[in-house]
Amino acid sequence: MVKKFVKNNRKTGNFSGTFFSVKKRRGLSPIITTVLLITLTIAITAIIFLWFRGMVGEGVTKFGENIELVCEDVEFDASYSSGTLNIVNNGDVSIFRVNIKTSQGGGIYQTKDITEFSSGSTWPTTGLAQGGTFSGSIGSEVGSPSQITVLPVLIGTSSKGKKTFICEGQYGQEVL
Amino acid sequence: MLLQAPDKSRKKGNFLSTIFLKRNRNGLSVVIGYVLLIAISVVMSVVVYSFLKGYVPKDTTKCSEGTSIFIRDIFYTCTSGAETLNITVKNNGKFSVNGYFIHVSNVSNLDALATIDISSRIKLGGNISGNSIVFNNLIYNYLTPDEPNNVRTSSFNVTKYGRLYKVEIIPTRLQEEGNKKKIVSCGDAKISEMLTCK
Repeated sequence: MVKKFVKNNRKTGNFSGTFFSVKKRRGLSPIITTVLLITLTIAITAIIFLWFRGMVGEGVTKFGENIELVCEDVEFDASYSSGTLNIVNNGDVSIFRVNIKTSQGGGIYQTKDITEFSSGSTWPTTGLAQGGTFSGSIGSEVGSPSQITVLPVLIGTSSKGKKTFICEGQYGQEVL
Repeated sequence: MLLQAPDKSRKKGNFLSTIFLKRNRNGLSVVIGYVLLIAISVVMSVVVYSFLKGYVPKDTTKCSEGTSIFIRDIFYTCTSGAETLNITVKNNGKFSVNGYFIHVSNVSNLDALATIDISSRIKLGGNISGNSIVFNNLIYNYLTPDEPNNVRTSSFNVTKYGRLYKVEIIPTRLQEEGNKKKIVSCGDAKISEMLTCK
């Protein structure tokens, strides 16, 4: 009798009968499987997305392209003599700030933002625009390093607002 | 009769009955499958596109290659209180030039970069625009490669800087970017000259 009822229900596609009746449990599996599959897929997708986003890092853009690509367009000259650092922006990309990387020898490196130096207070707040120049004494604060590299820092936009980006070493200039 | 319903609706192409008729559940799964496939493909394409969009380099407006000027004459008067710098530049490149950035150095070490901007001290032979000199406000890229407009003399009052040792000039051009004109810096055409008192 039960077997016949189940068989009948399956044929007629009686959903509510299939779902709520204990005796017709065999009809549950396709629905539950589908729901489970979709839930699992969404959950796994969300986990992978969050993990991947953490790995890739937040995208910062400037002029509508990734800021890493803008670093290639940065053109500047820098020199260091008698403890004074001179910088001239020769290009069209505004240099928001610069990072000064010093090496004291023996693999000891120190990186400081220009605004961390006392002379950095004269650095323009909006950055070095086209043709902009900077000259400041940093000699007393860097000591006598064996190497000084100037790395440009750009400002771009991300989903969280304005964000600075330090260009990689290849876009920097060794001044000592 | 019940078993015949899906076949009938399929033959007639009755879409709504295929979707909503309980007895046509076999047809439903196929439609959902397609909808899901297309939806997932579209979403994935949008995600991948928005991610990769930023990594495609854009054509940025750069100073035309072949832009060049040279300092034909320079006259530096360093009489105390009346220091003046007269510079005559000539276009020896392939493209017209709109103006230049001008920096001087008052450090005797000639390796040091010139970082003193004297554009605001112009007396004759141009106008100040931002931190650059523009030869003519009415005529874009005034300094042409050909005569008669290929030479321009500008005069600067440099009284408050002390003894100057070097001058550096970076030519600028006005170029079109989209529908806008934009000043571009010709960093590759930068020139420098030592200054001696006359």
